[in-house]
Amino acid sequence: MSWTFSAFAQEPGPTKAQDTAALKQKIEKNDADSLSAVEDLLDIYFADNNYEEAYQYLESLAKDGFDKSPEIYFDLALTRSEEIAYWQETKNWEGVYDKSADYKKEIMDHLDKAESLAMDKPSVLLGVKFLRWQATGEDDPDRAFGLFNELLYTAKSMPSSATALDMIKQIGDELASYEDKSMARRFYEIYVSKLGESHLTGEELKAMALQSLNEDNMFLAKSLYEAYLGQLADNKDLAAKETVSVADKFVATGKEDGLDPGYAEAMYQKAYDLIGQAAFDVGAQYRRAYNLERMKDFQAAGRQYQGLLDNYKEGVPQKEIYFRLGVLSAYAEKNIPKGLEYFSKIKAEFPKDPMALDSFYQLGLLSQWQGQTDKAKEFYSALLTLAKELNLDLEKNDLVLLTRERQKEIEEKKEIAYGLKLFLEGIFKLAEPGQRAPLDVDLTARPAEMDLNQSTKFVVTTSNPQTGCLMPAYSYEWSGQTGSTNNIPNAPELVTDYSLSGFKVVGVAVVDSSGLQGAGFEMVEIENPQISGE
Amino acid sequence: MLLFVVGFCLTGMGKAPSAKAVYVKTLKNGHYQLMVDNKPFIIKGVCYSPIPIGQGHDYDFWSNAAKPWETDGALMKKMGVNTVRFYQPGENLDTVKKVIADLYEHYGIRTIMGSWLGFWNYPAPFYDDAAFREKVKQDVLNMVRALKDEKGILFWVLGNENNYSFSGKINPWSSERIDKMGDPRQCLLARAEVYYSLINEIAQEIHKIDPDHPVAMGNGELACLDVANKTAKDVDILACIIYRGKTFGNIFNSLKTTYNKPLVLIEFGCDAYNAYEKKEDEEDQAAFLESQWSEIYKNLANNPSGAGNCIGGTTFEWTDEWWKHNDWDPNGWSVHDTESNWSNAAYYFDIKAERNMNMNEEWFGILGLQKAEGDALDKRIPRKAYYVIREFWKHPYDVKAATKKNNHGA
Repeated sequence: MSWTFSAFAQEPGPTKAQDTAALKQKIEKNDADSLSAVEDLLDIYFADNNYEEAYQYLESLAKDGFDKSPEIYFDLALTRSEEIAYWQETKNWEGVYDKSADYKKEIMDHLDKAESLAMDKPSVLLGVKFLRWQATGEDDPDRAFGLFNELLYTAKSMPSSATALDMIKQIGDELASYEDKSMARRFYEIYVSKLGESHLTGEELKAMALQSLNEDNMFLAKSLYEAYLGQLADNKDLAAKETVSVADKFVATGKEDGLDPGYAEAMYQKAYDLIGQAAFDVGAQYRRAYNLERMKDFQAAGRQYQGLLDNYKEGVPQKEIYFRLGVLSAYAEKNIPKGLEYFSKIKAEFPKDPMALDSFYQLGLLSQWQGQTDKAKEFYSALLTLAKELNLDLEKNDLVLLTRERQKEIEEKKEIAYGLKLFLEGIFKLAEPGQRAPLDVDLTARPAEMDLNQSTKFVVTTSNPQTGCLMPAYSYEWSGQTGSTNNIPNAPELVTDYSLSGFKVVGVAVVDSSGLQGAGFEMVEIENPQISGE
Repeated sequence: MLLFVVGFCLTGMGKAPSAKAVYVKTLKNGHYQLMVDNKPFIIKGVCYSPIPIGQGHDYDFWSNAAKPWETDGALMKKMGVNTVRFYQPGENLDTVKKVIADLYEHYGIRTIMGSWLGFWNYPAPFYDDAAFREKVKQDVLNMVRALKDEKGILFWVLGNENNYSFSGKINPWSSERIDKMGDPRQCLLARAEVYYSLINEIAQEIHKIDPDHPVAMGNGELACLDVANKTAKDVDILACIIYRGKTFGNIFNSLKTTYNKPLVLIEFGCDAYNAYEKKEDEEDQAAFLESQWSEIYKNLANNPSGAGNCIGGTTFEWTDEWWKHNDWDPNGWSVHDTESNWSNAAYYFDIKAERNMNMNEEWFGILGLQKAEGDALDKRIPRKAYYVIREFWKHPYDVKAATKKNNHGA
């Protein structure tokens, strides 16, 4: 069902059991109060999809006693409009396309009449403008564009009464279900601006914004938050902190995709523009960086992680940031020396920390890939020594097991395992000058932060070569810390879980009949609730 | 007297020495028009593969006792369809002739007849192999000889998206000679030259035996047409398969500089399933098709705002085809699968589906199907697009920014 115009209803609507005859008795000639009963009657007719009877009754009113009532002419138009909407909803396309042209003419005639009688009734005028725009949109987009501007102007010109606010919000809510959300945002902006004229406090606006978020109305929430922040313009410090706080509500986390990570980053930047780095405490700075990482804007994420290291002395999860920067530098930026530098910092500054194992493995792997097998052997040995010192289970620890595989390859002078080698070639070799453009390969895990033994799903998405509906047959070679799944599928999805906490780096190479096409990576973090709780 | 009788008979038996039945006319302004019986003809068509629910790709619909083309022909005529495109004739060309004749004589619907050119042969289409080429050529010529005198025939289409195989990623084929080149780009160009030269040979032969109907070349997008421009000069019409969402982009103007031939959009459309919201979506399908047809009309001859090189299109497709997902599995032929087969970001309304897999091959029909009892014809359920295109053809206009309501929610 499309938008139901109920702005004239003064009381809660009747139940279906109420007799339409009783309502008709209430409707007396030239009695403005009886308009409320008309609306109640229409609610019953519309609920029963009994549009023709409603229309005939309204016509009888228009002929007898209500000929000067714009509301009746509006209702006549609305009834026809609702019937077309009902046909659309029930996919009665013959009705829509064989009858609606006549109905639309009637709608326009009734709206013209209603408008001519409603010059001092802004609520009716707004309804008329909305219905006229709605009835025109699909048939005459050019004219609809002008009608929408008229609608906006009418809404802006309305007095800030409760009825007006309610109507404007209703229209905004209706528009939010349209493909072009910008129309809804423009109406919500008018709504919020009229709320401001009602002298709502900032705290009230903030509460309404939160309520809108809870009601899944993100567009209205954004308008309300922005109005709230607008009230703080005189206090830059507070405005910046509150802007960060708004951003945090839209941000991506490892557990959820976030309401609107792009909007969150725009708000973080707005806060930064207000007072610079002072807008962010360590937590906010980390959330900003991680949000960018989840958006796969690795370059920007790297800058924000580095900002975390540069600007804060206390509370920075330093080794974790080094590791993230190492992975992003090596596999996203394809800058192996820079990656090695960050991994070496963990080795140097946290030599006995379990995270040093991760750094040793990455240092070993990147060295092995570069043909520096002696260096690689040193790193792998250091990893095994540390694992023993930390009393880890050497038969279960994924890094230990991977390290042994790598050591064996070096000892036996074999190539790196097929899947891993393809991944490294996909990342580094295909990026070399003169190579054909690799396929864009995105590897995303959901969730990317999880507890021990909690399942996660890695999904590969590729850009599309120009092959129309004929998709190339790809095979997917997985590598790295792929968790508990024993039989890794040759498929674009991998569901797995992890029995050990820490960072896990997973790679995938995409291959078709003409060879390696591209590679992607993902970094997930496994939390041990027992350790986190301590 | 005897001479008079003989002369009369010969004239009566032979073809009238009139102009070609179907031909392409180049106008003074450089625009192209398809002429049928000496009148301009806009192709308002659909791709037509009436495979019933429960049957697979090798089903011989030409012999279907329920005669789907009769029910469909009536619905098509009501909608305004004047052309159907068949991808390939059935093996029994007599039954094919009957279908073409029924559609034309009862509903005024003309036929574009295609050939896969052995593209889906097992193990691969060896276009660089002389014997394979000869076989493909003879198959096509046999088809032309058998069908060319059917009044309903509009023109022939050689191939479909066969050019996507040049890269070696789709249905790969090659030869020792090509493989020796080594460089992937050189191999691709060599395959293009091989394939398009075959097209040209067949086009030349068709012209000899059937001067009454043009020859079109099916091509996925505009890929490799620079090669075709040198090697497939005898083709009359370019028949493109294009999936670019609501628009065809710069294709009409771009074509003028690469392969300046009249263009028919031989396959385009939009599926009626939203892979993100996981539900049927008639609204987006209708809106996309209306926009696509609007661009076709804008680029017809004598429209000053367009390129003037388009002669119409055939929407993919008339009815859904339930066999297409996992076509090797007969168990799936009775199931209307909702798992996507491919991805295309230009169909933005559901591109957020997992892995961006948003194109549902079994849902492209402008008519849905419902299983009927026994061997009766599946029920045809026209989607919104059927009516939207019908109205568009009655009153063509440029769709600029139709306000589209949908259920995407806030």
